[in-house]
Amino acid sequence: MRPAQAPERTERTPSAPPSFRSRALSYLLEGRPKDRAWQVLDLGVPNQNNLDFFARRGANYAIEDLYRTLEPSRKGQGYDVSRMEALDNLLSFGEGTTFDLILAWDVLNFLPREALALISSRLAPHCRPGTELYALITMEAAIPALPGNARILDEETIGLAGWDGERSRPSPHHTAAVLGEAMAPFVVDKTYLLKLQMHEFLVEYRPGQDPVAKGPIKGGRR
Amino acid sequence: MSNRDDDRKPLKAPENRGGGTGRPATIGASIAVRGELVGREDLTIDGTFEGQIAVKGCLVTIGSQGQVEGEIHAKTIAVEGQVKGNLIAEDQVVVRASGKMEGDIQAPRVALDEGCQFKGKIDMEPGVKKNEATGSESAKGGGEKSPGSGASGEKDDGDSKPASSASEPLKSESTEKDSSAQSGSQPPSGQGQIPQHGSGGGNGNRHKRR
Repeated sequence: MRPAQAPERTERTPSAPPSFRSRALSYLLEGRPKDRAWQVLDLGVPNQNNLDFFARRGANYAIEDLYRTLEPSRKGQGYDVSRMEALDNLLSFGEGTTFDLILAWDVLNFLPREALALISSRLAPHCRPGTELYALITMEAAIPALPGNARILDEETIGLAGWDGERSRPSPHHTAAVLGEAMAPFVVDKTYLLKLQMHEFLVEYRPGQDPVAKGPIKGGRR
Repeated sequence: MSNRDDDRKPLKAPENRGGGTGRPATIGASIAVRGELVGREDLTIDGTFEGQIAVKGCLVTIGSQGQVEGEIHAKTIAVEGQVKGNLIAEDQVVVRASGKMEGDIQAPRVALDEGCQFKGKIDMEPGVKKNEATGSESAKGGGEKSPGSGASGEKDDGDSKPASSASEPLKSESTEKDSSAQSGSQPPSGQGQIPQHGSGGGNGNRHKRR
């Protein structure tokens, strides 16, 4: 009788971060301006993938690592909202700078509601009617210590590293209603449900309108 | 040294008097300089510099201990330390993992190594003036394409811009008809070339479209 063979030893390779098909990204690409450069603001960590993606599409690309601005040490220790208000350099761009698209990625999950209002007020001078803010909002009860690292992999796919590990902080449970109220005059325009227990939110800058969310909210499992 | 009475006259680098060690000029870690610096050779800043630097056609490296506040004009700029100000490069700007930058970048190619800190705008078409208000674009005189650019006539769903280069050859995305030469994305050998440090841009993810 043959002795039992030990199972083949397989190489342990780091697993690729979870990715998802993004309907919101497809929607944004379809709606990008055709007659001028796309003005994009990325509020995540600097990322070559994202830079190249937008550079190929002729976009003017700006970056502010929002979470690092709020918590420079990036140790997941939280921050004081009153200190945030005192940050002169928070979302400060040149006068006249306006963006068509703001990528908040998963950062809003790490901010309390009061911070959303502050961020909205700082972004408003740099928005034009129709500016879209893209956000990934979790439905989970707990979140990692720090925001993840989102990369656009292609025109339909986004990878999100950092959410496949330990959950160490309670989630603020932002809902569409919370976003709409806290971030007025931004209004929730579209949502898409993801398998990652997250929603993609497109929040549109609509100055002068009622902060209550308007328009159909679409969902679809991805 | 510039004469304060001739502030309107741009400072000119002296003519190349021959010789030279082949090593970059260096502002050492214990040196602090404030003013205007022009030159025709590669420059490394390990100390502190406040002002304007113009070494067109050459490489400027802000070392890991270096701190610069001001504007830098060069062929290639590598940031390993801290920069507060704008960077204008004829070829490429690289922000290394240890780099911290706040300011705007104008360069045909930009590489952001994973872990770097950056706040500002990136303009990879510095030769084209983009008019946001009117939506028109007009080419400035002297705008040049980077060596890595190509297939400018190809368009795929409006994606006509070639890939930028990272500090490692950039692989095209699956949906892109990108025929830009990967090898062409590297700076030419000789003056102005960034030594490769091994850490490339954070574009390791490749995802095939179903």
